[in-house]
Amino acid sequence: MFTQEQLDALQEIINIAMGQGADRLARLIETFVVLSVPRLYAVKGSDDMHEAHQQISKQPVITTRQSFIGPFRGEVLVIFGMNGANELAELMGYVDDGEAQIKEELILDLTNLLVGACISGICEQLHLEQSTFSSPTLFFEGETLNSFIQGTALKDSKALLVEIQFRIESHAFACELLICISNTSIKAVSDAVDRLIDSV
Amino acid sequence: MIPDPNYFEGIIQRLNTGIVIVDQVGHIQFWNQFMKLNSGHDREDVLGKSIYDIFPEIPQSWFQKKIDTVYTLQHMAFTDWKKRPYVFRFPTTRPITGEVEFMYQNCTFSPLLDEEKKVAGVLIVVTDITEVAEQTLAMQRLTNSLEREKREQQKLITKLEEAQNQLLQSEKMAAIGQLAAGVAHEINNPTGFVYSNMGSLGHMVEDLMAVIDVYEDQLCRNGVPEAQEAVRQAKEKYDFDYLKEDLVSLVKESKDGIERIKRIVEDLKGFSHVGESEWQMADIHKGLDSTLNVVWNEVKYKAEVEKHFEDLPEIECIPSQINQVFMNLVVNAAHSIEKKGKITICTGQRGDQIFISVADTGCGISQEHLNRIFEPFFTTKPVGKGTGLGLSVSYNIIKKHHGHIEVNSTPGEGTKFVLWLPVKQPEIETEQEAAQS
Repeated sequence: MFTQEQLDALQEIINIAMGQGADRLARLIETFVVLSVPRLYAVKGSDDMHEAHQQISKQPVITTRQSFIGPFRGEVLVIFGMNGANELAELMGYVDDGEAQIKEELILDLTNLLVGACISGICEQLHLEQSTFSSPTLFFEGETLNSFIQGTALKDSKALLVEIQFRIESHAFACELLICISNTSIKAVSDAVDRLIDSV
Repeated sequence: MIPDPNYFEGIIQRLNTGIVIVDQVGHIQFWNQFMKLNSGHDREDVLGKSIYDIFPEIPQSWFQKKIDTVYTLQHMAFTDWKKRPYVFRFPTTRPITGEVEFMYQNCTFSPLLDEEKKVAGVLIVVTDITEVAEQTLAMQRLTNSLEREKREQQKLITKLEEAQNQLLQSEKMAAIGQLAAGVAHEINNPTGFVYSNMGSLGHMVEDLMAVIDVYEDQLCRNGVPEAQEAVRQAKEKYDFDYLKEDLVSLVKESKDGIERIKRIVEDLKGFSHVGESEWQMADIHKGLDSTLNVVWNEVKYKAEVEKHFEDLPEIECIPSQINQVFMNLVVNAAHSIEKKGKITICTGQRGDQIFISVADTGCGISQEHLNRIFEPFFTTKPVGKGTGLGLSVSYNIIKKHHGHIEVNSTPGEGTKFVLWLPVKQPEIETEQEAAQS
């Protein structure tokens, strides 16, 4: 796993990457995007995972997922509140709103944007080859994260968990990202972090 | 050996996947064979033209946001057939055996970078997934119908359980009825001779008192003073004057008590009598009174009962069944009253019909429930308290008697049920139904 030094460096890298991601996102949808300082957890499995998110996990949520493939490999879970996304329909170019179908497509669009902004930013900072992405899908809906994670074994996620809150100010919209890095890419990431630390 | 560029061009042209490249404003830069075959537009006709002109069905602002995403974030964008079955309105790839009209598609939008790592175009890859979509949709339909069936079965199971509970309940009621009839019969005999003995005892006490009077009279006139004194002392000791008075009233009260026992026993017998399920001419008022006696215990702490009986002819009915209906109405009325109220029972005749009305000052029935009260198993009482069959059975009994039931209810004020029954049953049907029952 990561040393404390590596974790500190990663924290900083992700902070910068997310800042850039948020900036691009803001330009795309032409509105202010606020994000929290990312919090990093080194987790060993789903037990730690659900402990890490007691705050967000009490309300029913819609969670989407999207995987990224490359030297930097894993999955991102994006956790939306049950409401809130609707307001962004216009920003994302949807004309006729109100349908459930559109709401879901919109949430998937947002997932894609957030994940893209974050992962590309991290790859850039770490000078890793850009990841490619799978299409985002709905993970689960209407349960609390706790109850869902407790019933599901999350494989191969003994890695890194990044918790970031996005808020789009004018639209009272917020969501959280969990970046789960797969075991196979830990070495690549930690090597890249070491290179970065050495070069400073 | 480096193959010439046409080699790769050939591969891309023959891919069984749609490939389009557009620039930042949506002008088409590249177009492969798949796109040509499905859209019917030749490559030469579309190059340089706006994709929105070639495909007017594309929602422009939404599509442009995808392109913007690729340009701004240098990131991929996706469409999912489940959310949006198609982006390009191509005919289905199963024109003969398929069920759907259009080609289901997943699209990915990827950035094409130039030497300076700037986005130079958007590569749109269109995948035909009609096959998968059709299977998924069929599976979804199957799941839906299975779930619907499951729900229906669950409903049936619940109904069955209810019916079974009701069966148990009615078995129990029948057993209790039999028992009551048996007990009533057993009590009837001793009550009979106690009653008649009490009658005799009354006369005897009177005779005894007359004899004692004669004794006293004679003692007063002819007795020696010692004897008179002894009798006086004895009378005082046993409080003879009180004894004389009380004896008469004791006997009278006991007679009343026995009479009441007799009446209740008779009502019980009449009420639960199994054999009495034949059509006969019966006095409704007698039935009402005896039913009231039977349920008196349920009613007396809840309500005072007011009776307004007009003169009624005897009517053709099955008395035990009419009693059952009447008991239901009275018990329901008593249950609807929370603390203390009034139950008013009226009877009368209008033409060749008679009516019996039972009105209470209870909690009333809400409009939504009013439509359902005659449904079997409908009850608002807590689980285990009511079977939801009382009114349904009553309804059927009255229907069998060619009558009808009217209900009026105001929530919070009370409910009034009116039974209408013909004096004479239509002849032929009566025989048929008697045979049926």
